[in-house]
Amino acid sequence: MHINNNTISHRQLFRQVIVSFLGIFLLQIPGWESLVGRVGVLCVFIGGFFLFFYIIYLIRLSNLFTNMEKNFGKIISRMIILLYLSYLVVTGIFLLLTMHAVVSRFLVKNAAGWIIMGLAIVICCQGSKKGLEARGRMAEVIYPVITGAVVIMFVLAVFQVHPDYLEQSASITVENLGWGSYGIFCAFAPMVLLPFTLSRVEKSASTKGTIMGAAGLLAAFLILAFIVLQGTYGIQGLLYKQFPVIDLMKGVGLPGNFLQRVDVFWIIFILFSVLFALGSIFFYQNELLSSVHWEKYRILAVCLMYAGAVICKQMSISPSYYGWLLKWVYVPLFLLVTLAIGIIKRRRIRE
Amino acid sequence: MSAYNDISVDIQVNEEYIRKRCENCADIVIRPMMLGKDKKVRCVVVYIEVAVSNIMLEDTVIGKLISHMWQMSADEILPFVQDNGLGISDVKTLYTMDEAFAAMLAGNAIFFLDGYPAALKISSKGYPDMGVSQAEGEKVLRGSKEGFGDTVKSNSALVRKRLRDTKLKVKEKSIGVRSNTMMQMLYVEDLVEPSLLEEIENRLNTFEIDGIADSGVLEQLTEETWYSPFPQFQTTERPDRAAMELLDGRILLLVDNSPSGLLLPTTFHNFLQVSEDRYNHFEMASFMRMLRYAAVVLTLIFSGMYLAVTDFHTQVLPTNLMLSFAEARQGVPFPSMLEILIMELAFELIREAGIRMPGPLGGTMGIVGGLIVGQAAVEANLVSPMIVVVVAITALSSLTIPNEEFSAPFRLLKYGFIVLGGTLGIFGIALGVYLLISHLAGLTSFGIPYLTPFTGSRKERSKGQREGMLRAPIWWMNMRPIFARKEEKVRLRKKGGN
Repeated sequence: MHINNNTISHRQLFRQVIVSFLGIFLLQIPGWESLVGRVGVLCVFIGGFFLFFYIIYLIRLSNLFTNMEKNFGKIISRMIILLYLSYLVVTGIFLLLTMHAVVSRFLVKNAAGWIIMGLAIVICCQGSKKGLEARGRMAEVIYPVITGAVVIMFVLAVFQVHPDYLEQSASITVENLGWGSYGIFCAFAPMVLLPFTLSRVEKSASTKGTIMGAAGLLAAFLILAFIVLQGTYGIQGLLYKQFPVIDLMKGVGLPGNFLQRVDVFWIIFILFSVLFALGSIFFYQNELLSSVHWEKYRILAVCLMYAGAVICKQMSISPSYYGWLLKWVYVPLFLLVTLAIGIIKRRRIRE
Repeated sequence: MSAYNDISVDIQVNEEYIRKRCENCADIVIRPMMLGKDKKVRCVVVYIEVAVSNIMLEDTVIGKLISHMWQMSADEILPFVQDNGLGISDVKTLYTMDEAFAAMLAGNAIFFLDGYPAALKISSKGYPDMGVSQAEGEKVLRGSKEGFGDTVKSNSALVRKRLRDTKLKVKEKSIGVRSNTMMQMLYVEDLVEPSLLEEIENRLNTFEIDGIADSGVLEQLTEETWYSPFPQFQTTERPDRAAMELLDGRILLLVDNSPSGLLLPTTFHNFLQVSEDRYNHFEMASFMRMLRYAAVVLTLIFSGMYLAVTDFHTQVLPTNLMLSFAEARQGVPFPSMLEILIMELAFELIREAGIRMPGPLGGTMGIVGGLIVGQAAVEANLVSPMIVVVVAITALSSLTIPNEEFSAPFRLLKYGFIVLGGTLGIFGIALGVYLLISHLAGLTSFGIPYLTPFTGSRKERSKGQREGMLRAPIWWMNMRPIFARKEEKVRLRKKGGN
């Protein structure tokens, strides 16, 4: 065929990153205690600064991730893959719980968790085996719709901002800034999966700018959300909201007021992004499993995620535990693993 | 007869073979004649009765020669045929019985002569057909009214009429072990990607079938994703459209007895284009195109969205509107989802009945079904008036999609969206849209992503095409689309002039 469908463009990579992160970021991050208003903005800058270097480091390591068994041996590569897989399962559970929380609270009152989460899994699993290029195309098509909707909604929400609320300031302490910045760094943890697919991006050596650009745009959306939310609710008002971004839209009307409320549509654009993120989880799950020839366990991984989500729902385990797991378990482990891989790479270059 | 089925020098052997093979074929005429002054040279003409009329046969050059042979001596006839047979414009020499039968079954007359180890094919107009007719399925206000007919050769001639260039190649192939249906593959030699040509030729060789009655069978046999409801070939009944698409580097497949040509590769966007898009000014063409895209969305989700909003998200609608919806539903015994399903199915029935009804009755059926049954259903409190409006908008939208094959999957998927919207509200619609986009993103037609030109890392290559939801002014559309060969991308350039 005269068309090469085996690689994706930088544009597709950029859009995949944005669409995967945007929805869940807007839903979850503005509710964090340490990330409010100006402190949140500062944390985005500081967290982004460290992320910048970590992404460069990850891109440099990407060639070692393409054939892990050859590079690290069977046992070590399988242990690394197990760590990443467990992270994917936990992230999947978090996404499912968040999705169910939003759906049952704002869209389908008291919807059964096992049905909503089961349907989301079935739908998102479909097509996750079609490869990176299909996901790239999908992201390319939905990116303008989702980002366009989010921008329009923020523009409409600006009219609700009270300038005096913007003057409020949370106490800026080193502890606040530290944890907030680390939280932002942790939020970008899924970036650790990028090295597994970078080899299938056109001119993969120069993807640094694209990934940075995507992270930058996400940071810009977060900053915009922090400012608009603080301006709308004030710092105290924000602390009691589970999904402040959704509440933000309740009072927003379209020019002409031909619809009573439009928050439902905004929720759906954000949920669509969360669905895409869930699809990405399944995609990376397939990639990781096939990298160590464990394709037959694909269904098991999906079932584990579903069972985990249903059990968490039954036991009323809050999705906020995910943040704790990221901060204390996964991100430190990922840093250690990538550091070790970096040392191995350096040794090999010396040899 | 040899093992290779060669035509014998002995006319008796040939005649016996023909009679045996054509036993109980009343439509095939085997006409033996004795030529020459002394009536000593035996010959046989074989043809299908209706396909080759006697008058036509006598009008051909060989027919006139046969008349001339009545006056010749026996010794002169054989050298005369050997010397002149090939020089006649409408005659082809055939050396095997299989060739001779294939030519005869294609609607030609075959002439066998004693002592001559070959047969002469006398070309004929072939089987009866409807001739060139209007393209009923792709009507336009501006542009040619000619449409493809049932004969593959006439159809390719209609394309040739518009592309008078020897670089337009026409490859013939017979498909169907029993039907021996002729298929033609048309392409412009220096515009088509060779790998594309190779791919379609390979796919045509991957199956053996007894017969093909329409190009639709060929389409299903050669498409990549057989389970997808979305067509991976584009059908056209218009030779002008086909000619323009060939200039974009695409390939046209024509099948005998089918008035629908198959264009490949194809994309989602191609199905929402009509020939008039090229003929009209860009402002109007763009507006109409956007309308068609909106029609796709409305066909797919409008009914489901209505259910989602009225059953789950009533806060979206202004109170007055919501109250009038509720008022209109008073006395209707069914849930909204059932109401919509009943009306949508009723519309499909009316549509199907309208298509199958002969001539003007079809239109009458639409009016009777749409107006009278709809009104009666509302008056009998079977459905609410709003449902009639919703179904009518969905129906109009589905009819706005220019290609019937492309409209069909949306009409079908609409039912899924009705169920999703009716059970899970707008979240159900989102799940359906996700699934649909995910499916379309994975779909390709001969390697070209189905969502081109909205997606694909190769978008840069089709920059000059300026095609999408909007159509650019014609001077900006100076490049061929992604289908064409890289070296031949430019299709329009300005020339210096006074």
